[in-house]
Amino acid sequence: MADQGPRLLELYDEALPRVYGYLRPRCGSMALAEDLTSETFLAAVDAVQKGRVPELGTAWLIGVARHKLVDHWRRVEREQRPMGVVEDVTHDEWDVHLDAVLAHETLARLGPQHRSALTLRYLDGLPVRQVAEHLDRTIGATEVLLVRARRAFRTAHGQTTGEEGQ
Amino acid sequence: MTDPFDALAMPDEELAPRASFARDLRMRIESALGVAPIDQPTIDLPPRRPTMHTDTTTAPAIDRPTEHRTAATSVTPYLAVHDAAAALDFYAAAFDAVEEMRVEGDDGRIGHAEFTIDRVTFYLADEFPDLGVVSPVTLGGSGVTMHLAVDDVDAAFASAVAAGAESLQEPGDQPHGARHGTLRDPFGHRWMLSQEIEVVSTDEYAQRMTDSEWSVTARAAGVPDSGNGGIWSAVGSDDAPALIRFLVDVVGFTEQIVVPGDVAGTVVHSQLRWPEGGIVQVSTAGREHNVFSDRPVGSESLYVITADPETVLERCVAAGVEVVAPMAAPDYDPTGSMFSIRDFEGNLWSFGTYAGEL
Repeated sequence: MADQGPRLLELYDEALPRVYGYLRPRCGSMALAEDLTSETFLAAVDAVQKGRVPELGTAWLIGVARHKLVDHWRRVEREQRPMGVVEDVTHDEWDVHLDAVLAHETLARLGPQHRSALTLRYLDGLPVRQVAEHLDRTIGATEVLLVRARRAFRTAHGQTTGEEGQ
Repeated sequence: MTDPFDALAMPDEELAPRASFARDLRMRIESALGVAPIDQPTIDLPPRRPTMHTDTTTAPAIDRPTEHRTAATSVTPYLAVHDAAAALDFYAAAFDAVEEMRVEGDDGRIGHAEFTIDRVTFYLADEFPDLGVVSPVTLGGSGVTMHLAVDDVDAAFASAVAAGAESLQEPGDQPHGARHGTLRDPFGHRWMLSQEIEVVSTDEYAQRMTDSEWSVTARAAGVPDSGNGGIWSAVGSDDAPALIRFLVDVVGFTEQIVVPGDVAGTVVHSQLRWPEGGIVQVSTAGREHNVFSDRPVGSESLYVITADPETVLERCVAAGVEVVAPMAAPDYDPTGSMFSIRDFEGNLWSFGTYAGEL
């Protein structure tokens, strides 16, 4: 096994602003972004030492950061449970032009489940199948979650902008 | 149909975290990897003024464990060699070195070893080029000579040559009172073995050298080094990094510690030492919830004791610093001299020979 430790250190200066740049806008606070950035790199050290890194690079590190972010939301969700409400999942069309800044503010007010689903699906642009993998759900369950998340978003967005959510 | 949620899409943009966070995390990674940390400067100061001569050192990392500070008044040579095991054998044969310990890797390389010659400690390691540890053989020479005091230079020199060292200069008597000879060992390191044969003062040495092509000077006596001093002054600044650079690069202070703040360009604490003694602390003024930083900037007046104010004044004049009082002998010190400058924020700095009443 080639020792990738030195390579990780070499990569550090270049990768740190990319990893932090990924996490910071997705976390509510600097403190959380820093915590998750630390967790990401220390997990990378662990993986490097166990020889479990297929291709050590910034892209791989951002993948680790995404896992750490999802893990964080899971922890928050466990603390906030129960929060599930049975909802009608039809009528999922919404014809509106979203302002990106307001939209991100709205997102920050959602619960962890909805926030993580929308972040992975729309901020990161992952296909539903990958969102499902990250959240450890079936594709069907993920689609239902996304519908609920979008609805929660619309309601919250109506409150942000003063409009009624549809 | 366009999906309104597409507005959430966010390009991955680079964003630098706080410098102190970046540095701390690097140290945690280095520690987790078991890699010796590379000394990082404690703050990103503006570049040094290239024309100014200073003998500053990089500020030490602030949270280094205390056990690493024990050799505050000594320095331990850390030799890189192309074959550490053979070198340990050689130093034992040549200089009666005693191996105290070694740390050997799975690949057979010695990562660290310690040996003593008489009571002097040396460290030694194999080459680790990826860490910048390369030996004189790789470099094609060495910029450092180990000057080793011995009781009998002729015997020690002969013993080293017999063990395989190359004689560069046979032992001979020197006008400064030592008899010494120079060797290059098989690993490329230079050694000067030296035996004191008479006690020669600097004045006497200078006298002996008058007819040679060398002249001997020594630091002017008169102001004893007062160490870190008993009272430290604190100066607040609106541009602490620039003030530190000025005091170090132009005036001649040395950076002992510089602690950056969380906000870029701020300094929460620094210790600048005057080479002849005393410390001034420069930090950013007007920091929130910090009563010590809540003082008017540029209102300080400080007096620095130095045996050589002329040299300090020359550096200040060369840098275009405002001189508010030219060099003169103060009333209270008719044989001495003193001058004053004003820094770019308005603080007055006086440099004089007067060192107080005894």
